[in-house]
Amino acid sequence: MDHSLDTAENSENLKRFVIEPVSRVEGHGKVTLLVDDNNQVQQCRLHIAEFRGFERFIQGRPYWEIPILVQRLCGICPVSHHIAAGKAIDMISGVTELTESAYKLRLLLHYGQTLQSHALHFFHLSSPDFLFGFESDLTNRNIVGVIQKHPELALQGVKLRKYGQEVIRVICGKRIHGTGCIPGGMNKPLSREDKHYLLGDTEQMVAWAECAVKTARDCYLANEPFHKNFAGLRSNYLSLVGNNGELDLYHGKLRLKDANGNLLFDKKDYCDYQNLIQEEVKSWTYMKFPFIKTMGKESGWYRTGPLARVNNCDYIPTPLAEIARQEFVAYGGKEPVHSTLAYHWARMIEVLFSAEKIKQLLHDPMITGTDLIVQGKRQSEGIGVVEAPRGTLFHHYQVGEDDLITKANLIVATTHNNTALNESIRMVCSQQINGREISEKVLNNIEVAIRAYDPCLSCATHAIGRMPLKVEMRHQQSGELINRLSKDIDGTLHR
Amino acid sequence: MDKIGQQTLNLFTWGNPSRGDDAIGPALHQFIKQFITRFALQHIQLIEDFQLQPEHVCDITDNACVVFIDARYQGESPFQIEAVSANNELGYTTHALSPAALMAIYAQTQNKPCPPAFLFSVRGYSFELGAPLSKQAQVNITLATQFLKELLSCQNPRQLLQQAILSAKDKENA
Repeated sequence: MDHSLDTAENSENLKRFVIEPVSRVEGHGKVTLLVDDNNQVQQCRLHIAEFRGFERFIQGRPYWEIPILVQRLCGICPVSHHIAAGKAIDMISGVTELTESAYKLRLLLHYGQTLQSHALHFFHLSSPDFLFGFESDLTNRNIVGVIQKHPELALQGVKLRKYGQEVIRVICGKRIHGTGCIPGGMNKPLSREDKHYLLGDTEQMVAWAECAVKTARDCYLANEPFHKNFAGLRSNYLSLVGNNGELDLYHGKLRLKDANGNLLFDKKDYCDYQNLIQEEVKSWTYMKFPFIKTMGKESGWYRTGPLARVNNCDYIPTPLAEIARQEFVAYGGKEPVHSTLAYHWARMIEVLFSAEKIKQLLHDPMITGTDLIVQGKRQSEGIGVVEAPRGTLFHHYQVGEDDLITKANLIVATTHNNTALNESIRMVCSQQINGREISEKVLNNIEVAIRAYDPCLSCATHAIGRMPLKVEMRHQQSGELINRLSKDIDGTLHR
Repeated sequence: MDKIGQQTLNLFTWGNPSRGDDAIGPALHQFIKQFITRFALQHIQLIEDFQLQPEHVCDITDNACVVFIDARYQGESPFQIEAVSANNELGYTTHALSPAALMAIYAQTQNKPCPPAFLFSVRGYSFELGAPLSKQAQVNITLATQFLKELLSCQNPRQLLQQAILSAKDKENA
């Protein structure tokens, strides 16, 4: 790991840039750059507020409330938190295996969530960068620009997401704050009417998902030498894989591969995560830096999420996504694919996998089964882990005799990727920013690198009336404001 | 209670009930839902979500008047009404759209002019995790529901909202 931009020497003589979206109360990110007189970046850090407040907030609540409560962590992946918490609560309820119908309903819910989240990310947030260029006109570089120039593609993205949302609505009863997972199972069966309603669109969704893979792949390969190196890192990769090494986003064992593709560990029980993963604290951010204990913080950091999962698994258990994976793996050659921008390609392979899984599950007669709950002997601790859209999501709870939560620990994907996010933006500083005058277009290169990881910077607070972006240059010693670049809520830029 | 010729209302509410005054949106959602049920109002479509997203354009019905209901961090108390025009607004690694950006997507994807749209925002003061609604926000909600009762029952919601905007301007100028 290159620490050269982690902490600058003589920082008092450097200009300070802050990229700070302040539109979210929790989960907002901020990038600070310290730049010398020659516009050479000497220090670059990404700060992200994380969920520690929520862990405290959960304490003292009855354990069976948790799957509902944790949906308020995030407006985009509430279902991932719901399912991870649901798995932990199963364990507290002494349930080690769900009924077949409950298990398949949870899979359907989880793949609906992955489909909608990934579709939103690529089509809404990231495709504008690829379709218009990283430093293109700000007024085009957004979903409306995509709709104007590529209406068919944009609509497919919107409808893929809408379909994923419908899967969630049908299972949980509501678009948000719904219920599905309860201790030991699911709270209601899928009706035959709802199954047929969802089945009606599956072929179209799979076809659009295939197009999405092609779009992401083509965007990436269109400028391959540049994209390959942009914010590129060689890293370890951590993910769950199924019992036979297959891609499985709901359940499995932990696998870690090194940058050469060698297995560092495999088939590790996630309940043992505290013996595998350690978290480093740094004074300048609330966000911790996890690493593999036995490897140490220098070489033990890793990436999670779609890139890690597609690199790590031996195969994908649906036919079209497996073909797409093979092409992806062939591109990497003997090593895992390391390019940070290849996250998007891997993400769309998972969209295809999710669409195919949804189709398979809806054709399975057990999906409408009514035997949905099992009971067990109450335990004092539960750990639930899933592969959420952005990466491996850990929920860990301890419960007192009175059924109230006494301790909660959550490790979310953005935390796992913290070191990688910082290293990626430092790479961008070296590659794209050094020596240039800082402008919004230049700074977008940093945003492009951050977006590849799809970090969950925004959660569910969104009061209107706050500015989405502010960049300030201050004298490091006196704090005097030297220059300011701000973006109003209507997108107008001011110096 | 529905009247012939009554304009369709599409109401969008959002917010996080666990974040202090961000619960204003969900609280108003509950009120509207109960009001719709009580008076069997057929002309209102009420949509609740965590945040606005592109697919919400599919929820906007023809010839409707669209009203977005949310908490507001700054601005007038107890509430503020503004007309929303389609505007290609920008986001920064965020997963949410503004009402104006949603209307811009509507215009682009549906190939028809945007319906009249308004933002009804109720002033909030504290958005801390785990905090309850502040006392002042509760007062604002009560005052907001008085207006919403009128809005939900009236024949021409667009006209009512435009009148409210004009009266607010008159007060400001007075």
